Parts: sequence; structure tokens; C-alpha cells
Amino acid sequence: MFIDPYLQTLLIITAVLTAIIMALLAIMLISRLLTSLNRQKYKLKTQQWEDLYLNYLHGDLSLEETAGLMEGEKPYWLWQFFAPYLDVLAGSDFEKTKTLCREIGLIDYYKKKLHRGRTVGKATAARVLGALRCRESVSEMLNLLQSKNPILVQAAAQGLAKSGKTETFFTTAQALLGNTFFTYKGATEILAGFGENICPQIARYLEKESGRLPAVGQGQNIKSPKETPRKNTVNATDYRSIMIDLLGFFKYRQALPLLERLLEKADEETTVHILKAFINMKEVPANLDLKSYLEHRYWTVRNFSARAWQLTGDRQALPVLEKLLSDRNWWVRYNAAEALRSAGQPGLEILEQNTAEADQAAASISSYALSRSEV
Amino acid sequence: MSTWAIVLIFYNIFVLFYFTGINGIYLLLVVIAYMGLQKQRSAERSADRDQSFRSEFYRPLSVIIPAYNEEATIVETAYSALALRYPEFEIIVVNDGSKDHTLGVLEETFNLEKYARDFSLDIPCSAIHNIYRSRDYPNLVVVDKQNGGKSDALNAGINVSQFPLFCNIDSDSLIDADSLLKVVDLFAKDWRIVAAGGTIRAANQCRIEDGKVTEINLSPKFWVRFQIVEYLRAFLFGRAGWSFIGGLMILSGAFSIYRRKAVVQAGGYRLDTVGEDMELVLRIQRVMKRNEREYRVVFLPDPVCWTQVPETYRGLRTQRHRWQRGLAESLFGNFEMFLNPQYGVTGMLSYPFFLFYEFLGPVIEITGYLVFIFSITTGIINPPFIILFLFVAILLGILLSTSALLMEEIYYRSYPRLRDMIILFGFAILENLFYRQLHAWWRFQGLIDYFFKKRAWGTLERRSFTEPGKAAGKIN
Amino acid sequence: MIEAVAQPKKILVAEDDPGLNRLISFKLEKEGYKALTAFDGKAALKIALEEEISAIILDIMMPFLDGIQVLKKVRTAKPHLPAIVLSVKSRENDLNQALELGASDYMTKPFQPEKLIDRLQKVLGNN
Repeated sequence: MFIDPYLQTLLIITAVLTAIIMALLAIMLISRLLTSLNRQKYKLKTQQWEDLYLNYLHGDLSLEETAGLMEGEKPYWLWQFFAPYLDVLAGSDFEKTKTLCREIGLIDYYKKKLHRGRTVGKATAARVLGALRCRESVSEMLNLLQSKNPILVQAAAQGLAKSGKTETFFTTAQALLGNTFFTYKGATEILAGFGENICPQIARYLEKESGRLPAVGQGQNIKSPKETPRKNTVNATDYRSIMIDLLGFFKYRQALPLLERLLEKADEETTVHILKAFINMKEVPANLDLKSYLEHRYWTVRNFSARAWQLTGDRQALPVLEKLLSDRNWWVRYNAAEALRSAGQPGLEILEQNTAEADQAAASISSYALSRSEV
Repeated sequence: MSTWAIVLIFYNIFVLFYFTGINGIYLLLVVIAYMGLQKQRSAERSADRDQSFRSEFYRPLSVIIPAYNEEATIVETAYSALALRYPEFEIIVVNDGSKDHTLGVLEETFNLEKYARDFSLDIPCSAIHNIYRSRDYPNLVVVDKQNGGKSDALNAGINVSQFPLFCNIDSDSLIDADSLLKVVDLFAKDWRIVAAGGTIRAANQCRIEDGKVTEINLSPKFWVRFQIVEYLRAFLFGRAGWSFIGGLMILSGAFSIYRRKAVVQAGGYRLDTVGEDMELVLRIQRVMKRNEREYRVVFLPDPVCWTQVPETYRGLRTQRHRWQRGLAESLFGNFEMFLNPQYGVTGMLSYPFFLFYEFLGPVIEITGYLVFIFSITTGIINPPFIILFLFVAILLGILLSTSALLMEEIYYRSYPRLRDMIILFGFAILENLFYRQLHAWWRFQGLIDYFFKKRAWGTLERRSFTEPGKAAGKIN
Repeated sequence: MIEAVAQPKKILVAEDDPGLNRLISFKLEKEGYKALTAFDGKAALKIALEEEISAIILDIMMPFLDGIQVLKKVRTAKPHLPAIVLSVKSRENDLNQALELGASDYMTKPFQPEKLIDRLQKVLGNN
């Protein structure tokens, strides 16, 4: 029925498949062998290095001696060894470590990798150079910011942030928002690596921007800006929000008057971020009346103003907080209850009263808040 | 030649092409997984994970563990969850009206006390009796409720949790300490992600101490070994492959993470299906689409969840029956996704794949074997050719399983002993000569169940959330 | 009368990062202390309660029980045990809480281990 050539082809295919399977098996075995050898070696080396390094830090070994025993080793292994220390050390110990890394050629190696490596190599290099706080590869990293690969953009942004070159801050921020899918928090975390020296720049930027903000009621985004897809153009509200977040993170209280001014004209999203900044700074501008924000139509604003209220202790707002115990959003109720709990005797009394209220939600959240006081 | 013969010949060839097709597609997925994992490496190498742990930019997360009659394993699981490295999280164990001493064991071990925890009933669920907190571990919460099934327990857990993310873990699963960091890292780097799932591995006969797997052993149990190979092929690299092309449709219920808001919007877990995790993932995608939100469902090859897989024939069979029914319920419950270009790769590729290969596949496989045997014994078809063709199809299957093993060797190297790898290779071969056929038969039965039998359970199914026949203890 | 040889003071180093833990222990031993190590909150609590230690160096972010919880529980048993708390700068609330609970001092990461040792000696000197 079927002629021999077909049979022949099938036989050949069978043979090929069997050969491939055997080859895969062989690769597995070899890979395993190599890796276990490597692992043992790595373990031994890191133990040696640990002894050397700790003694070097303590001053018992000189730079030359230590470097002499560490150079020529696999750069990636060296990096893995030093990485946890670099993240945690500061001051002279950090500098000593960096000098050691330079002496053993680690910095040069990764500078070259950044320039000429493949994606994985470049990403690692950016991370290494960032951890070592190198300022020398800034132009390379700026190039990487424009990469189509979000991973490289992120690695470059991290590297630049840690290098401390604050003049690259805005470019990095724009690239991070425009070329990746980062969330606010993710982007803020990386940008915070630049350190608090960026705060004056940010404040100046926001000053300029404050002239251009539309008044509340105009140009309102009903849909939160996070939900709309980013298409390489940076959403102005996103950008501004992250700037404000950073001011809050660094507790840059000099910006309080500026933030107060921005608050007057801010849209919902920006309002929330400004309130968050106040909370982080542990200070609310003296003349700010939170009542209108406590009764704002967006729950996020009500929520954060309840938290911000804890910093003012303004007795006049207590009845408003009490009303919020029946708010339709759980987080608002929760934070209103927390605010009352922090308000000393009058707040606790209000909570006690509410546990017996007809409103189920208010009663429940009040009991919960009171139970937290018992811990 | 009679028409019969022609029909048989063509059917045989059709079946063989089917086998080649399914193995070929899986092989493609493995290759895609490989390329994707390489790409992932650059993300890993540049990640500053310790930073996340120390930073304030985390999103707080709730770990929800539904439990029904789990007195033997719940403490270990809770310890595993407590050992997680994450800046702010809470653990919510939901005791779904257990008949055994699950609650008692928890009360004793963790020094529980009742407290007036408030929550909002975002998703309907059966009555919650009491909520407890641990005096020793302030982030451990236990919810005691009326029995309602696993989905109901999960929904209750979601109600009590208020953090923006939640992680669903099976009551007999153990998770790697760094898993949460890795997962949330993904959520922070991509605002589109609504759900993510991790790798599941068999913990049977591994040494477990304080909720951590301290020694990975290859189980000596016959059925477990098949599952190890299978999990690597289908769950690890299969899913990784789908994830990298944007068509991931299933997350394992044993370890999955969701944005709470998205799940509440979708209405929570459905109570009338046994495949609640898969069904939810599909439904979330539809809800996101309807609201015109961009979304991503991703698979993380890195974080690992260890779970007990069935060790007996019966246990495994029951599980696979259930999975097949769950697959059917999830697919047909979300049929609008079928070949719908709006759903991208998921609608155009994954869904049809799962429908034709995973769901209807057993029909073709079983009838295929029968027809094949019939053809050979009646001598209608020239034996050498057809046998050789079958051989090729099987070899392709072995190639697939072996490449999964190779990938596991390159990326994880979980099994320390060389002997283990050889044994697994043996089982990779055996899998294609015996296990897959048996598996097809079980799935076939599941399919029949779905279409013809009335489902005897509803929301009051008193089913343990773990598999029957699973090892309740562990080697220590 | 034969005077007993002074035993080295035992210091508990509770820090989940193994490299850092080793670094601190190393420096302590060079200064003549004996370092007891713990890599998570549960282990730290156990050692703190069972051993005769002179001070704790306590990281806040640890698995099982964070530093605050450990401190709380240790305080009920050993109210005068000096404790130096380590944490990240951004987690100010934790540090404040720790100080309220009677921590003798704190350091934020990244930091200089030398300074840590200095502060430890000061704290021990005061006792």
C-alpha cells in the first residue's frame, strides 16, 4: 500500500529524534556535573573571600594583599559576593569596599559590559555600577534609558539614581514613566535612590507647574490616570504625583507652603498625593482646613485627609470624622476610626458611643478600632 | 480497497497528526519558555530585591489560606506563611466549618483570641461566626465560618482582607520565603498585571521543617514520579511559555496572587465549579476587557510553592476527573473568549488549544488507540508503517518530556542527586508509554461525567481542600 | 582568693541577612565579645530569653517575628536588657516604636559597623 521511501523517511526521523533525546540527556548530565563542581568552588571561594574581606575591613589586611588574592576571579561571582554588603554599608566601610572592587578590576569589567554586552550583561552591569555608586558610566546609562526593553530602562534608571548624578533626575523620571509600565510606587522607589538632593529641583519644577494647573472643576479626570494606557507620552498628572511623592518621602518640609498652594488648584489625584506627602512629613500646613477634604466626593481624598487629620488634632473636625464612620467606603471608615482613636479621650468616647449605634457599619468599625487599642 | 479501510487509514493518520500536533505545540511552548526565561534573567540580575524588602514602597498583601479538615497540615502551612519575608502582610486562615480539630489546633499553637474585626461584605459568602487574632503573631488572623466550600471560604477571606493584593494558598502548600517579594516586584513594575501565579512542585517525601522545605528528595512513590515530570512539562514550562506570549489562561489555585479590586469587580470565586481558580482567571479577563482596561496575567517561574500531590492511583484519578470537569466548567462558563480577537493570544490561541487539545483531546486519544489496535489486528493497514509512525509520535513526546527535564536542570537544579535525574528520565520515557494513555482515559471519564452525569454536589460539598490519598505526614 | 577570669560578654546578633550578620559578629568578636547569631525573629526570641546575654543588636525586618515583636516580648522578661535596633531609614515608625519600647539606640541602614560597635560599647558602659 505505502511505498518504501516513506518508510525510509520515518526511519530517519526516528533515528534523528532518538539522537536528539540522547543529546539532551548528555547535556543534562554534563550540565549537572559542571554546576556541582562550580557550586563547590563558589562556596569555597566565598568562604575564603569572606575571611579576607572582613579582615580587610577591620584593617588587618592591606588593600594590596586582599586585592592580590581576589583578582582574576570570575567577576560575576565577585559581584554576587559583594552585593549584599554594598547595599547595607555606608561611610568608610563602603568606600573601602568600593576601592577594593576597583582594585580587583570589577568596575572596569562592568563598565565594558555596559558598553558592549548583550541585554543580560547590560542589565547586570547597570545594577553593579549603581550599587558601587559609579559616576563614570552616566552617558551609557542615559542611552539605555531610551531602550525599547523596559528591563534595560529600569536597570539604567536604577544605576543613574544610585550614581547620585542629580542632574539626570528629570530625564530618568521621564524615561521611567514613558518607556516602562511602572506603577507610581515602583517608579518612586527607584527615583528615591537619587537621594534628597533632588528635592530643591523638584520644588522648582512644581513652582513652575503650579501656574499651569487647571482649576478644580475643569479638566477633571474622572477615570484615575493610572488606568489609561501610557503610550510613551508622559501623563502630566502621573509625573507631578511622583514628584510630590518624592518630596514626601524625603520629608522636605521646605516645600510645605508650595504644596499648600498647589492644593488649592489640584485635581483629585494630585490632592491625594499632596495629602500623602503631608502624612509622610508628619506635618500639615498650619492654616489648612481639612474639613472640606474630609467631605470630598472622592473616597481616596476622604481617606487620606482622615489620616492627615491625625497630625492636626483639630477638635472642630471631630463631628465630621464621626460622620465618616458611616462612609460607604471601608478604608474611609477605617481611617476615620483610627483618627478618632488617636484623638485621646474625646475620640475614644465617640467610638464607644458608636458601638451601640443603629448604623451597623459605624458600630462595627468602632468596635474594631477599640479592639486594636487592646493589643 | 473498501471504504472502511480508507476511513480507518485516514482516521489513524488524523490521530497521529493530532499527537504530533500536541507534542509539537508543547515543544514550541518549552522553547518559548526557554527564550522567555533567558530574558527574565536580565530582569533578575538587575533586580534589587533586598531593597524592596526594606523599602516602604511595598503594597500590603493578605495571604488567604482556606482550610477544611486540615488539622494535620494547617500549622505547617501557617508557619510557612509566617516565615515569608515581606514588609507588611497578614495571614488569613479561613476555617470553613471543619469537622475536625483544625480550629482547635490553630487556637493552641498560635494562642488565638477573638476580636471585633470589621470587614465589608464585598462578595456574598456564608456566615462568618468569629474572627480571631494570634497573641503571639499579630499578623495572623483566623476566620471561623459556616461550611460553604473552597470558593466560599476564599470569598470570605477576600472580604476580611482589605489590602490591595491578596495571595491564595492551599492549606497544604508551603511557599518559599522570598516568593512574595518576587511577585509584588512584578506588580510594582507593571501596572497592568491583575493576576500572577507561581510554580508548583511536589513536596512529597521532602524534608519539611518549620514550614520550609529543607531537603528536596525525589519521592520513591511511583505515581508521584510521573507527576513530577508532568508538572515540569505542563505546569512549569507549558505555562511559562503561554505567559511569555501573553496567553496564560490558568493559574494554579495552590499559589496565585490577585489584585483585590479586580477580583471584587469580577464577583469573586464562583461556587458552582470545581475549577474555581481557572474560572476566575478567565472571568477577570472578560471583566477587564468589558471595562476597557489593559491587563496582564503572568506566570512567575521563580517563586516556588510546594504541595502534596496524590500518591495513590485512586487519589490521582479523582483529582484528574475533577480537573477535567473544572476545565469544562471554566471554558464553557467563559465561552465568549473562543476565537475572539478581542482577547488577543488568549482568545485566539490558548482557549482553542485548551478546548481542542486539553478538553476534547481525550476523545481523540481514546478512540485513536482503539482504532489503531483494531487496524493492526485486522491487518487492514500495513503494520510497519503505522507502527513506525506511532513510534515517531511517542518519541516526540519523550523529546518533550526530556527537554522539560533539561530546562529544570538548567534553571532550578532542584534534585541534588544525579541518580534522581536518571530516574526522572526513565519516568519521562515511561510517561509516554503508559501514563499519558492512562491519563487520557481518566480525562475521558471526566469528560463523560461533565456531559452526562448530574453533578452531585453543590456549594455544600464536604470535600477536603486537599486530595484524597495524599500523604498527611512527612519524612522528618 | 582566685578571681574568676572575666567571661566575654555575649551579644545576640539578630539579623536575617547572613552576610551582614557575619560582618557584625566578626567585628564583635574582634572587640572581645562573643556573638550569638539568629536569622529570624523566632530564633532571636529563643536565644534572648534562654541565654545570659548582655545586649541585643536587633534588625527590625526579620521573618516570623519582626524586631518590634521580639523587643516587646523580651522587655516583659528582661526589662533592662540593652537593645540596639537596626532598620531602614524610611521606616521611621518602626524606629519610634522601638525607642518607645525601650531600645537603647538605633541605626539606620546603610550604616557603618564601626559606629554600631561604638554605640554598643557606650550602651554597655552605661549599664
